Amino acid sequence: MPVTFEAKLPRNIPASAAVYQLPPVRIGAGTLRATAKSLGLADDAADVVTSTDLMAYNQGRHRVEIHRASGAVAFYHRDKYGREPEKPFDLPDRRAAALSRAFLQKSKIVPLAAARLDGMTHLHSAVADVETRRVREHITDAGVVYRRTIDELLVEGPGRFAMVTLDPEGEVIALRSVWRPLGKRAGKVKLKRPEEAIGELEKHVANLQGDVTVTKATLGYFELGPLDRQRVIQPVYAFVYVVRHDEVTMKSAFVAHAGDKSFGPLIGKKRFPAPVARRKKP
Amino acid sequence: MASVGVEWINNFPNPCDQPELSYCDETSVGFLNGMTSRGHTSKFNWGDGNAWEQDFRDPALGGDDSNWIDNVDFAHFSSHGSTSAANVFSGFFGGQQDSCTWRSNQARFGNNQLEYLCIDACNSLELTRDIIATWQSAFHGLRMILAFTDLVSDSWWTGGRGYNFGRRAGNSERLTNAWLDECYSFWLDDNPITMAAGRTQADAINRRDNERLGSGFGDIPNSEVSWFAWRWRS
Repeated sequence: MPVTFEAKLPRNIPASAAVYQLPPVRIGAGTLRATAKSLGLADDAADVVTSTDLMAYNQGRHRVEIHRASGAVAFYHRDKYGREPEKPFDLPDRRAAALSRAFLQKSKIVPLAAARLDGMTHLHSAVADVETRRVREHITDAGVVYRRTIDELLVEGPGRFAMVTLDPEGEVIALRSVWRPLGKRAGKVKLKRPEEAIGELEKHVANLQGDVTVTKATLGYFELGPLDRQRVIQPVYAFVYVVRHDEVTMKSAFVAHAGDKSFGPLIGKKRFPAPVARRKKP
Repeated sequence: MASVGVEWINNFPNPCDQPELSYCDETSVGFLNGMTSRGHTSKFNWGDGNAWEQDFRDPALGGDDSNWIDNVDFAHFSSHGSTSAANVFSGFFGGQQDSCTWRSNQARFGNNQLEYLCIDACNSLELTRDIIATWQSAFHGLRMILAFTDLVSDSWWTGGRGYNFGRRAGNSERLTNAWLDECYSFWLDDNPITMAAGRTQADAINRRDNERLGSGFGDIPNSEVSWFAWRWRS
């Protein structure tokens, strides 16, 4: 069954793109304190919690976490984030965007010059009683999302974002970001034609059961999520696709090197191998 | 400390034939690892042909959940899922013990032990359906369902969400915050959602926003569940 494309790759592809190193992430008490200070916390009495995968800093009602593998940052107000606010949320999107930009500018958590406003999310709350099932729904916060760019190419992947969350008063009550610092140039690659990447995608999905539809298709750099170490950042063709078969639909992604040479794998081994278990049938 | 059980299915041979998945083990076993890394107890980890439908069906309906899913505090299921126009959720298995799917209208959770159920499957708390009609009958002491509206990705790049959530849940962080933060994907448009039951509107909201391991909220019998509260980001 041929693949259906609801989204297409751009027609104009640059001839080449740089590949960059990503320096190893080293997190210590000093980095943690500096990050907390940049987020507006006083360099004061605080609890530092350390584990194999992250370090955390609790001061007053605020918490800051940094993942050891990626340097991903999470910051939130423990009382206000994810709770019903005292007043209705009516902060206009433009105001939320301006406040979030000012926060990022001041905190320098991500370099604003490489950040593009990517959209607005909202946290929705709903309740209903079981008799009438009348749903009452409202918004409680705005999450302003910034997307990373490198050399004017958007970055794809589970990383590459910073989201600033604001409450109805316009106070920043949370920040999440996965944005590894960019290192030196590691090299340069010639970019393959989109048709070549489409061919790789079609080969990847050839044996899937069901109808395959591509819903997103992009050329960009690729950044991994918070759990994973990453040594280089390189250009890719990234596809998101959906497979429909009878009563089920599934969604997945395929990512291929866009360059004529690879500077490292784009996918790792399974992080949590499942033990082989035997179970007796009743 | 909480007891944890997980069931996940990547492979769907006949007679339960469905498209193969690749990373349901990552999300479920990741969740289990996240919880045990914070000191909680693993009770079972059943994958592929070892994951059985009868583990999710109440004994009153001929099932065996009081020895499995309803015999732990926290359970995680990862597989294909869908909610029908008749408001019945189906979770899909790779073998027939006794059926290829478990269904929400045959689930009675919490009348033994289960408090929190994670469903890492498409359309599991599906907002285009009536989620109260789908899940009300399953809450027999169950406090929360943490699931997804619309499709959720099966991919290595988002497969760490189970571990990331398990670590935070195991640390006694607020469950709704942890689930929404760790399972939301900008790139692949994954939309997590949590739902809690309550005796009153305020009770349902309080539980949805503040439930965490050790929070002491207590179980609610099904006959006393009068309200539901849910939350999602989009």
